Amino acid sequence: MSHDRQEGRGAKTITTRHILLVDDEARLLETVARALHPEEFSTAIAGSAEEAFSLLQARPPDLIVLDIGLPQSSGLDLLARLRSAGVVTPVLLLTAQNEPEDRVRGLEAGADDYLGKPFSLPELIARVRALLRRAGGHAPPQTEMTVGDLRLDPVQHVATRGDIRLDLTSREFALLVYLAEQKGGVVSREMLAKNVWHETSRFTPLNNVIDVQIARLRQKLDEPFPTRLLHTVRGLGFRLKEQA
Amino acid sequence: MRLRVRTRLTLRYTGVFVAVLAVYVAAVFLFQYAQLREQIYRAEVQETEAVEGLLYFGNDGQLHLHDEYYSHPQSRLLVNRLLEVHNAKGDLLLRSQSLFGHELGHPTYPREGVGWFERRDAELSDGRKVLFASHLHPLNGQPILIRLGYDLGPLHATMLRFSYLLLLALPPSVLLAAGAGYRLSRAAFAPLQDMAARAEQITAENLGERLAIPPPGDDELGRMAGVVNQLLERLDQSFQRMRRFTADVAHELRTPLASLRASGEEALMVAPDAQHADLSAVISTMLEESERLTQTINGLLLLSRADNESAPLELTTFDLPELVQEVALLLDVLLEERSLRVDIEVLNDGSKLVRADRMLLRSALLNVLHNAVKYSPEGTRIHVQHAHVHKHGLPMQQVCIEDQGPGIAAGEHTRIFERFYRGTIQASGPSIGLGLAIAKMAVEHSGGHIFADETHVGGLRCCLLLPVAGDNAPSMEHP
Repeated sequence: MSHDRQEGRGAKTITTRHILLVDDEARLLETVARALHPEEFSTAIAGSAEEAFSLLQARPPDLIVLDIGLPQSSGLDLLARLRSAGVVTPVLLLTAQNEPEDRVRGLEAGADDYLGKPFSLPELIARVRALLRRAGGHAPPQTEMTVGDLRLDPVQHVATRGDIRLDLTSREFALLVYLAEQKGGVVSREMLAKNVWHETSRFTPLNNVIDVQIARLRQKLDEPFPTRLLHTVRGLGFRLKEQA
Repeated sequence: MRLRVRTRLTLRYTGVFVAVLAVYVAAVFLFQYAQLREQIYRAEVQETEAVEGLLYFGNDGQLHLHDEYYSHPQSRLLVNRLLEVHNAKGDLLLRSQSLFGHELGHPTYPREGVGWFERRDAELSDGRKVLFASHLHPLNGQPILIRLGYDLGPLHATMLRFSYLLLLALPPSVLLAAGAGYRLSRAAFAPLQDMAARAEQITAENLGERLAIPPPGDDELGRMAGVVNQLLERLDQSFQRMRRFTADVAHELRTPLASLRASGEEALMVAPDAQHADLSAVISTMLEESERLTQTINGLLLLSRADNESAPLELTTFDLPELVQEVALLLDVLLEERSLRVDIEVLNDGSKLVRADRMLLRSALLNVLHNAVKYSPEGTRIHVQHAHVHKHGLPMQQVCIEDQGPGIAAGEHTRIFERFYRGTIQASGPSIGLGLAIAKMAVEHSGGHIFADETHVGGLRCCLLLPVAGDNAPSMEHP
């Protein structure tokens, strides 16, 4: 059941990635650092821009998670300093000001991604992985994915379990592909709203829609078969995974 | 309708002018009248002295007046003189013909004429008004009382003509004064008009701008502009404070929520085993509640930003029925799940293009439609009706969404758009109670209007009106 070990398994083959976390909320930093499993990531934490700068020189990270609202000099200033110094390390910005203008300012300052507080941990981890993948230059060509006896072919738009072809709507198929892409990782409702429904506004009542859509997908995906693949993780979201 | 200040001021000024003029006219009239009476009295005194020398007792013992007096009339008034002479016992000795036998005043007053001359007003029995002088004169050793008066009739006639003259001059001068006053007040109000026009252009976006202070600057108008500028300054500061406050609230509330959520999620991720199922359930509940809190804070911040600053709008032209379709499609699974049918009715042909912020409006429609879905009994239909209407003379595109749910109570039709309003019939479920308030903000920021149809019976019928795009619609762009 303890999925942290299993999740880290795939990453064991590559070297541990170093991540610098910068935020003035010590508690949040510690939580995030614990959630980024030691098998896959090593982390350093900094509470201010100055501390972050010295840590950067001590050991250059593969990725920086940077909060905009730092006490003295803001996260955006630090980012601008890094970029002007020629540092190209991917930066994931965190901010409590989730307004579109702030997002634009952050991306203009040279951030690679942007996440508004309060974020979901699965989403943070997914984005960290995606950024590292992008930076590593080996975006996996998604031709076919398998989860247990489920096979997904995004090109042909075909999903099968064993020999049986599943009759899915395009939304259900997109949902299934997105879940599969997370390789057993938990997917929050916010991630689904953003990535499957492409809903940018945070004020649209989509949670009901997502729950119903998941339930309908489960009817087609799991009910006719002995093993369940689509799981609800209460409080977190959903996960597509062959249970051990 | 109330009169404009300028008109009111002119009216008041004219009223005061008329009153002053009336007092002046009355004073002139009274002064002139008193002067003329005084002149008449003096003439009477003079003539009485002349008459004294002309009186004599004839052989018959009767009193006579030398006739030659008549051949030297000094003036027309003198001819009209009225004369009466009494002896000390009050017996009538002589009465002039001009009295036509009427008595000149009272039979004689006690001690009349004992001093120098006395003046009295009297009215003859034929109605003539008379001013007469009395004088006691010794003639041949016995005192006689001479009364000599003039008819005031000609004087009164003159005074009447004089008063006509005065009153005739009044209306033109009042008109003239009113005209001048109206022009003057326009000149006086011109700087105020300028200030009003300028102030009208100052909105939340350019609160930093100020009114020009009309020269010389230290007069009433200058002070007024100064005071308005100070007000703008305070307003500007409070807006800025409000903006900072909103940003601070966002930070101060979302940061602990982020910690709360991350801790909860981490706990669930590391220990979701069966042993701790109870604990996991508790944490899950806490996460769900924190999610609700986050939604509420996000909604409140959105509304507060909309209140405090005109959030930058992205006005585009788009097809309204198409957007409704898109939103309905998004809720498709919910509709299927509850076996709800959406039927769309289009009342008029022609363009359905509207001009609004599409993102905001999408949120609004989603909230309204989601609300309809939430309260619709299973298996019913949701009726969507598109129509072209006019509101305040402007062409608008209207879309009404009508469910067959329980509806709302009378008097709630405007209140359901209030923040956190909880209806009496549609007791809200887990929704955050900000959906319709956000919809209202979104529609109104696009220059539209949202309302619940009070005339509709049954379920809730919620209508959105949006400005039509096109040549006749006011455009925000300038070439």
